[in-house]
Amino acid sequence: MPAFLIPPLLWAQAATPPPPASPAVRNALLWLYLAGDTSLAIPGLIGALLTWAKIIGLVALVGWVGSWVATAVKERYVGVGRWYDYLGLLALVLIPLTVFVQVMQTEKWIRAVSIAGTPLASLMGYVAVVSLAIWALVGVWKTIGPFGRPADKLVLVGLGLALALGAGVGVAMVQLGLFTQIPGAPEATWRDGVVYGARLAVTYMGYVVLARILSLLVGELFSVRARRLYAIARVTLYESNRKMWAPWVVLIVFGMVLAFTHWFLQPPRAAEMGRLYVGTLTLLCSLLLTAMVTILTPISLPTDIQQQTIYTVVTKPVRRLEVIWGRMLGYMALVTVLVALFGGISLAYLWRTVMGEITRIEALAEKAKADGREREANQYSEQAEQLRSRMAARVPVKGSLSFLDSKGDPHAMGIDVGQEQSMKEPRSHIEGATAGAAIWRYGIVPDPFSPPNRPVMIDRRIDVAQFLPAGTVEGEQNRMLEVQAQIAAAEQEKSQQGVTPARASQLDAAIARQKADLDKAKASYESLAARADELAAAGKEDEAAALHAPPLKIEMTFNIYRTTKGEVGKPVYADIEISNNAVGSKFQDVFPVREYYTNRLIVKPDVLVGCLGSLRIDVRCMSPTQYLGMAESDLYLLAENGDFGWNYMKGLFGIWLQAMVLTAIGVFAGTFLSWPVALLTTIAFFIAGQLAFGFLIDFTRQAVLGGGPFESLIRLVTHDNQMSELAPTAGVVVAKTLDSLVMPIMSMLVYIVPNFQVLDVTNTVADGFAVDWRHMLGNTLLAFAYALPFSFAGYFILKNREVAA
Amino acid sequence: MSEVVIETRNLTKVYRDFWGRPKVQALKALDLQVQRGEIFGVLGPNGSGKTTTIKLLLGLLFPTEGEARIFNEPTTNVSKNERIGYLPEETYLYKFLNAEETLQFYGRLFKMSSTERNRRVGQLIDMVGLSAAKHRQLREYSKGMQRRIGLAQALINNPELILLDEPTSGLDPIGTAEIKELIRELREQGKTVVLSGHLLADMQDICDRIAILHRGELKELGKVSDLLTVQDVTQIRAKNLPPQALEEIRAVVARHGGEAVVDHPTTTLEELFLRIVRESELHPGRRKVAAHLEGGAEPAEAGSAS
Ligand SMILES: Nc1ncnc2c1ncn2[C@@H]1O[C@H](COP(=O)(O)OP(=O)(O)OP(=O)(O)O)[C@@H](O)[C@H]1O
Ligand SMILES: [Mg+2]
Repeated sequence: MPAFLIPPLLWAQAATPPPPASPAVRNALLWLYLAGDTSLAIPGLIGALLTWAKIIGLVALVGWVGSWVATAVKERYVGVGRWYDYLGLLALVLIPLTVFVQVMQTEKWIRAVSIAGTPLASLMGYVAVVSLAIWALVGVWKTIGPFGRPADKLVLVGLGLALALGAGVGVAMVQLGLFTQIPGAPEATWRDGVVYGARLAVTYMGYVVLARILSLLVGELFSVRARRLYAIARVTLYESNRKMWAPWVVLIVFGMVLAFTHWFLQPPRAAEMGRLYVGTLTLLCSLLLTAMVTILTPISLPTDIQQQTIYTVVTKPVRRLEVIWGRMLGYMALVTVLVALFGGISLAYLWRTVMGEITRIEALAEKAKADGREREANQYSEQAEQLRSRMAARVPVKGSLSFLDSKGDPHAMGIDVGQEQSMKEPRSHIEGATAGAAIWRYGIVPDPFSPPNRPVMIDRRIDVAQFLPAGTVEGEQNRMLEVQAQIAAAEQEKSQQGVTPARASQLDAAIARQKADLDKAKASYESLAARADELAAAGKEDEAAALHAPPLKIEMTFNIYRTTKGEVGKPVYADIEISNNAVGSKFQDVFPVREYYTNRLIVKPDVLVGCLGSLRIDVRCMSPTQYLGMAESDLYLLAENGDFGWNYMKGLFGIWLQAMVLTAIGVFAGTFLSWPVALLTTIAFFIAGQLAFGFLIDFTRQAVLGGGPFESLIRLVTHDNQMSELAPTAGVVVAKTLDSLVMPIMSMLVYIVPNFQVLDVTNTVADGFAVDWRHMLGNTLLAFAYALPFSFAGYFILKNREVAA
Repeated sequence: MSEVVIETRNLTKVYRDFWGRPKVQALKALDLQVQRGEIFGVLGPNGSGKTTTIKLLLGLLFPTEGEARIFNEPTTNVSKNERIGYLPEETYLYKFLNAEETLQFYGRLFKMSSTERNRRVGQLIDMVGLSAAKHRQLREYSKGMQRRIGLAQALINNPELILLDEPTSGLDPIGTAEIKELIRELREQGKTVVLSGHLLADMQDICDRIAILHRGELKELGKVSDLLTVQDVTQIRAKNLPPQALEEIRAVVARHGGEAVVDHPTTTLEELFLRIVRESELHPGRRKVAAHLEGGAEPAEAGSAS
């Protein structure tokens, strides 16, 4: 069974033994459950796609029902005081009332009341939901009659089937004991099954509507023609160029800011100059491009509609999707040109400033060396080295970090010394001169955060061939040992009982092949080693070194938490031990930790030979009463030093992706809003996605300190702090009710608002790390996952609105 | 064989506000048929629903009730636009493009080779007399020049059906004459032209059939020649009649309760138009369109007793 099919925790703990069900039924139910529960996300690409489909489906469902109901209201099919309108009104009153009752119960204002075994609040909730659904259904039904196509009626049938399916799945899950069971809670009844099934059904309904929408889109997609996209994109480019002078304004601002940058950019530490400059330049690019796109894109379509230029366009054989995509293409062409220009200019600028600084310092080092000032020379060359390390694209190979506490017991985290932390990767500390240690493990290792009795394994194997290339002494030696290990494994399998003869002969053949390999590797290792020794003996050190694998570089950035007991100014020492447990080799070193510096350790490559991808690195703090702080990415093997320029452009590509998503939103907003409103909407999306996304996530986790907006307001007025529980006064209950109504809606936003932050990889670039291709591909997919639905939504709006009204 | 190019059935448009409350009933139950090869005029005073009708035909607006079909396709079908040219009432084009870029842009939206497109762009710019100004951005154009480039853009695809909303507004007399000439040429090529306007003399010259709208209602529909024939007037022609004979005829007519009209066998479109508007204002509602005048282009036999 693939890993993502492993049933969730609670599932496995089902209280009652499951009645016999055929595995096929169980599997089908499992899949239906996975496809239906929105709170369930499975890792990997398929999981991401499924989550995406669920969300898009739900949005589509809301949009589909919403648009029919809106038409129904406008056409006066509903909202005219018939019986169903009273149902709608009832729902409107009942929903806040339900929440109010719920809040009063939790605040202990009233006793929890149950009617026929169902809590009152739930009952009210059901009535509200059902009345609302009936009202909406009547609206949709009455409107589809005169306005809809047969397919729309089919969708209604599909929605009914989805509801039945959901209820069926819910009940079946209860019957088969597959129901998520909270230990200790009363056993699930079929009613729980139906209620849960209704939740699943909503997702299934989303799929039905999604299918309808896709069927509507297919024809449109096939009708899109490159020449029309090109024509519209070109006019869009002309527009931003000739009407708004956008590229010129942006370029001039960029140039002007750049001209003064070095005046106000003072790095706190000399070594961080590159980081600061790169960070500032990418921030500038990002700001300018997003600002430009935010202003340009939402204005274009509304002005076209308002000034009626659109009349002559849509009366040509132009598809409405082309109107949207053509615009997006035009803007993205502009952004591409600007990104290329910005990239070129900023690289040239960085070359002049940072690289100039590096060569200057290196010249100083040379001079100091020539004058015999060794200490100074070392200082200079180290400074240059530090600067250089950031002006690269380092490829780190990271292990999995876990800790030993002062007594030597394992933990996922070390000591929290209460320093301010980056939320992304908090640092924890180990105490000096105790058993405390930070351990980075490579290989197939247990996730330190998984329960020790049921560890989840993660793959952190080292690609040894990358460090020990073939054709070097260590490379061939490593290959020899790897083949030996393979032979041993094959022989072990053969010696096991119950091996079929077929498998045994297969293994024999493999062993024979591997033995031949082994001989070859051994021969080449021995000749290489002999040759290297010969050269070394002859004093040709360089040539000998060329036959060996390059040394292994380990980089570390630790911080130090100094207690007052320590001696001021005395360096804090760390002990590092690298163990290759497969062959039992070890390397050990002690070095003074320099804060904010990349501490570099150069190790002979032998330590990796025969490790089969597994390695363990222990770091201890040697200085008593001092604490050494680290996070997982603070220690890594340096696999490669890539080209900085390329990496910088990859960073800008992240900004390009941001601009693309923003363009989709801007154009989308322009399809139905007047330009000032569309502009504000785009800005709001950007702010929500760039600055407030973390906040939105807190909303969905209901993890906001001090409650929702209304409760916070009360705290603000009464000066209560965020932790204290408010006394349940009338005001507090009302505020909590309002919060309970608003928060779910706010938390929905997390699914619609694009996460702009995650697309931005410029920090990695500024830190001097390579942005890897897989990450970029993932981000690209994510950006399209945001941009495409927005463009399709825009298409449906544009198609169904009167452009001349 | 005549073929229906445009057909509307019970076409009705009510403009509504944001809340769906009706604001204006711009078009009331319009039934029309336009045949291939016709020059069809839509007349009416300001605000009578001419532009609304054309927008409905193009799918720029959606009907409140009824339906319109072009080439027997629903108006929302994009593919029909391959064969249609449209000149809006006011020519709003992209002001930041020049004439050539404008036509190139619109040309690219159609399926035609680049050589064909370049040829047509050059030809149309010549035709509308903008060769000298073709590299200037449209923001510098005068109203008449914009109108001309608008007309060129409507013809870029060599359309079968051309909808012109007040094509002569803003044009000088020479331009007007040129447009009339152009429309006649289009008729010779077998194209169908629908034009709206209130310059009646022009319409009278070029239209085969006209519809007169007033406050969204169809008041008159038929062949221009028929509409302009005065039904209740008998014309007697004689040569070399002495004055006293004329007196006698007058007396005879008077005795039969008639009134002798000596001249004016046909009226002008202007008179017809004014009469309809006046009548319509006195008796709002649908005017009965004479049965023999309906039914499109088949030659109407009936006429005046001349
Ligand atoms: N977008 C709109 N919203 C509301 N009412 C409109 C709209 N467009 C037109 N109308 C109204 O519909 C009616 C018909 O307008 P329409 O533009 O079709 O007239 P027209 O015959 O073209 O007039 P004109 O000769 O002035 O061009 C008018 O009463 C007008 O006020
Ligand atoms: Mg008009």
